[in-house]
Amino acid sequence: MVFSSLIFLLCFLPSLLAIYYIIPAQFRGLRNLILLSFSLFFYYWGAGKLVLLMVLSIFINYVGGLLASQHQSKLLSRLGLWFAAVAGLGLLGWFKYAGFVAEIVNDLGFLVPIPHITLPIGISFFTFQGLSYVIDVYRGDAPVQKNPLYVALYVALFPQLVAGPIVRYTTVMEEISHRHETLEEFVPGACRFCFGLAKKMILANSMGQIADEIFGQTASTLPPSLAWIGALAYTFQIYFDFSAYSDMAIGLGHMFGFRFLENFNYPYVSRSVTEFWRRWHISLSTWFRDYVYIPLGGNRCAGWKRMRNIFVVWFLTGLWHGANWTFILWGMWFFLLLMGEKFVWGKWLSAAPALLQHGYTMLAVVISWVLFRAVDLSHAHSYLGAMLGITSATAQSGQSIYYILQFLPEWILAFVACLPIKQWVQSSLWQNNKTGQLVLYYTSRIAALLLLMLSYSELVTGSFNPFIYFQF
Amino acid sequence: MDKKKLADILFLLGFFGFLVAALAITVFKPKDTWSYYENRSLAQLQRPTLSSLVDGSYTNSVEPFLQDHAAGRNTLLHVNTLIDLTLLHRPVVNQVIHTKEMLLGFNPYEIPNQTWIEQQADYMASQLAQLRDLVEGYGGHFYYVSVPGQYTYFEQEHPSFLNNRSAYTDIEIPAFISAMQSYGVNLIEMGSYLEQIGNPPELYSTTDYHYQFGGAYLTYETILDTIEQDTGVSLPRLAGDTLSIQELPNPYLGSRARKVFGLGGIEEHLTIGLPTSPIPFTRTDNGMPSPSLVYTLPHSDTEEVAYSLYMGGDMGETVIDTNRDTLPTLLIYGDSFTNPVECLMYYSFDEMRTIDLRHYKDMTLADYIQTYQPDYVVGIRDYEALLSTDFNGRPFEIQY
Repeated sequence: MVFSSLIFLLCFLPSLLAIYYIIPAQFRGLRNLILLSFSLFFYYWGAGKLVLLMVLSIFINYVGGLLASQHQSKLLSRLGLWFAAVAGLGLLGWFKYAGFVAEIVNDLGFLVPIPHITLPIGISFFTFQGLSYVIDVYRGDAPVQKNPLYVALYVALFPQLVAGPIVRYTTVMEEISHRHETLEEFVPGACRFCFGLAKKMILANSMGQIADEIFGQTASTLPPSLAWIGALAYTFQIYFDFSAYSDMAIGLGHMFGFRFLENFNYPYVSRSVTEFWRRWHISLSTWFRDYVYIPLGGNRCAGWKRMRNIFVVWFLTGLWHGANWTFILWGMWFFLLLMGEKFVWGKWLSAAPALLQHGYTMLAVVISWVLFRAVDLSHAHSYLGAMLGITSATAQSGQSIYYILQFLPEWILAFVACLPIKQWVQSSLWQNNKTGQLVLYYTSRIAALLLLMLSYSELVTGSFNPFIYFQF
Repeated sequence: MDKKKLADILFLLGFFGFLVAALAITVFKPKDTWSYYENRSLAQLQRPTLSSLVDGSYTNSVEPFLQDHAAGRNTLLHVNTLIDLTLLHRPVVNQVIHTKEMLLGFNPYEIPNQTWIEQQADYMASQLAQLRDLVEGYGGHFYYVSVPGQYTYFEQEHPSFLNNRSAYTDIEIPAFISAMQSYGVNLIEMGSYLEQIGNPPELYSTTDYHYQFGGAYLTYETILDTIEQDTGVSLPRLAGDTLSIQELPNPYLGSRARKVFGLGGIEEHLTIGLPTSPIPFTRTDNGMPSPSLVYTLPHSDTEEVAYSLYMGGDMGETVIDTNRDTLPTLLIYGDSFTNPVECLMYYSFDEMRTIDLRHYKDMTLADYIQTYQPDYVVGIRDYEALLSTDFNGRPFEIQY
């Protein structure tokens, strides 16, 4: 099930809220049970019988956590960690990477059958989330959760289940058993959900339509202007799509008393790639930092080892996004850029005019999204070639004008929504005076309701509605 | 009460009120099965079974059902279209190009493949040559008529940045003419006839893909002229004193206008041509007796009319028998471009059979011809369908 669907909006969410809030707050266990049941149903609705895989993943992490907490026996504790890591990553490896590995083996001349496996939605997210719990327990950073239903709720909690943010157990462990749902939390959460839904329905889907139509054409025939429009549209789509999902997840979390950490912070205003990665998919970057980079030695080791650590992180980050060389290349692209900023042009960049800093960062990011969106390496090569003017440019002329004029309102909105204008207005009104605060209070709620209605209208009248991050 | 708390409570009422009201209306409102403006069946809810619940096909069917039957859907579709047309001025709304004077269809961008087009033209011509051989085998005559669609007829009316398919048409038509010539199949290429008279705009619809009555009449005349030239047979025809042409006062909702819910702001009317001295005839549709009419006229002058005015729309099989044994018999096959021509053509023949293979599935076109052996067989297809092997482009197979 996706948030931007009528089944979620009209059936799932009202039913859950009604049943959940009918149960008195003191029956926390029952409320959690309801939330867990609905979460599993939410996953079943999109994944069908693969919901059993999710249950298996919960079991692995529960048992792994129990074993990892046996600190008096290092062997048992390690066994728990390795069990969760091998079993969890093994499932991820099989379902997500088996076909890719088989293709590589075939390319090397060893003929093996290529398995055709349905990728369970959100497997990368819930695998990483579950694993972080076991690692935290192993490290002693978090206490073990002996109630299997609570582990299940942590892994399967529907707001962040299929597309993040990757929630750490330490963030929500208290809230699972002792949260307080209040009107003051619920309403901003619902508003955030409405804003996220509108972002998805109005901006991400329109930009996605442009990107899909342009990337769907033969890349070597695209005129440069069209190739750039496609790349920009995808740049907007991926941001609005993914950040919208995070907004909705965070908002829904608030509605049920959970406080998830922010996952995006206006990444397209960044002045360097390093800054970009501090603002983009924050929960994934911090996951890799805490569970891969730092355990490998982080910054506290010799230069080449540090470089190796960064390489490993970016190789894995690329691979995490998908079983395709394009994702690995995408990871390597960022590795090179980050290395460059750290050791080569970082000082020069920080001294450059702001406009140049933004231009450089966005150019790097747009190119990265072309690698990310391309079907394969050859497609990426041809598409980047088209952007640079190395193209036969036989595609029908006029398309660039069409994609600008047809989606002009969305282009303008997309440019505006990338900038922290909303934040600026909010903070200036908030600091203004009591009247300003009241105006902000009322307008934000009215705007949220209007956006909810607009999103409903888009949902009803349109059918173009895929979420990008489900494939990861 | 604290003003902030009041705002929160009002928001909650609005939030839940909206969701619950939308759900209640969606669940309890009567369910339509057909969307007139979209010209399609609305999604229906599957009955859940164990296998459909396990394999996910049931869950996949729920969202399209909800979308099609959601509260306020028709109103929202109208409002969206109106906003797109009048406020946002999108060049293309609901797949329709909106210009000041007409509504044109949006053609996806394309790179025409010359080799494929030439091969396909050759293949289609070879199929038609086989059909011609079949007809001539029992002494009949075969003609194939190609007619431009709206996108070709109004090629220059498209905004320069949108696809008018001229690149495709410029390869397609010469290739098709050449292929038909090489197989020696009689081709009546209406595009060239229309060009000779300067492509008068009134002959084609400004709100629909088809020609207007004028375009259909020219096609009718050209077919009869060609038959007369080829065979020396002079058939009675509706022309001059024998034909009364009337423009209906009713608003015409062409397919493009329908796609934009009649909000395009382009007014158009349909025309009919009736014999001044009507001839008696019987009509059957799909084997069932039908009123002896060729136009489905509206009940009042204000009722909207559609292209189905002509012959009652697309039918699998229609037979009109005028009981004039001295005249030859005719079979017309093709898509909806045949309909307004049929409204005239029955007058010139003893029996007129028409089949549309999109709907007729009893036998193949070749078998049908062999069974009834009409004296004349006329295929009519538009440029868009000319190289298509779908339905009416597949004379030797039944396609479902």
